[in-house]
Amino acid sequence: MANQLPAHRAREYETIFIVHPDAGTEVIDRVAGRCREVVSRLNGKLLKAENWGRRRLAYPVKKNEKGFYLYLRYLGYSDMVSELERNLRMLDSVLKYMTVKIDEDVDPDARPAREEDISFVPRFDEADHPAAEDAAANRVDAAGETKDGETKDGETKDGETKDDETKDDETKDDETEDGETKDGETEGGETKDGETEDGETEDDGI
Amino acid sequence: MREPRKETDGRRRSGGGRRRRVCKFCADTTLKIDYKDAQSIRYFITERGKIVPRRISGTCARHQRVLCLAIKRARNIALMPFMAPK
Repeated sequence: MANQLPAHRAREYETIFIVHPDAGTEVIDRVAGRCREVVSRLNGKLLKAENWGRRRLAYPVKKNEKGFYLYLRYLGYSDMVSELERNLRMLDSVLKYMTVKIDEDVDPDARPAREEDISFVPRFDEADHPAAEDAAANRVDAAGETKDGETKDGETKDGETKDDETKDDETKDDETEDGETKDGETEGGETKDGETEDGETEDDGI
Repeated sequence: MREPRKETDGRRRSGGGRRRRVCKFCADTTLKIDYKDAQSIRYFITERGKIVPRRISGTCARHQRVLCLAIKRARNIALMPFMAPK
């Protein structure tokens, strides 16, 4: 339990874990309570806790296609992650977890722990995020076509609509550029070649 | 302006027609590469879930490294597929 950092310096971590899709609020509360208990027991500081709601997983995890995503950001010392992950492993409802170190050297007093940032109520209730469909919509968008599909998908999530907008702008730019070159090239044959994607790849590789 | 450029890389353009692309993250420094935001990273993976190479996406080496790490993290926590999602 020896802290390698001086007592007044801490590390900042974030942990995402996936809870079983059939878990009710009381199960999630129990998992959340366990995490809070561990963080406070090891003199850590919980900075942020979020519940992203039940989302579709990109691939099945323990034969589950969906799961509740919970997100924690906290300060702690070297013993924090192993202890927290040990606790998550013991909980059967936790399917998968991942911890990422965000910052090596933080002054704990500089990071206020605000109670309003800590909530385990789902941000997006029951909003499923079909990964495949989103990907397809994005690819259509990247090709510079239908923006309608994109906005429809974006509506399911408040936080991400902004990102979608910026992406739209950029694709729009691409489109106009394409238009320009097409105009510039008088020979019909060239423009046609320019549009096949395979040609692009090979050509760039050379 | 268009004409001389067409001449200089005429060989390239006749086959591919791709302009020099600018790194998306260099062009807009407010864009953050965050593995949690799978939606915006999805632009940089193929339909089969592979990471799009730099020569296609135009991402600079520095940001490609960051992006690569973000994609791998997102995969690890099932925000993004390892393999073809369909």
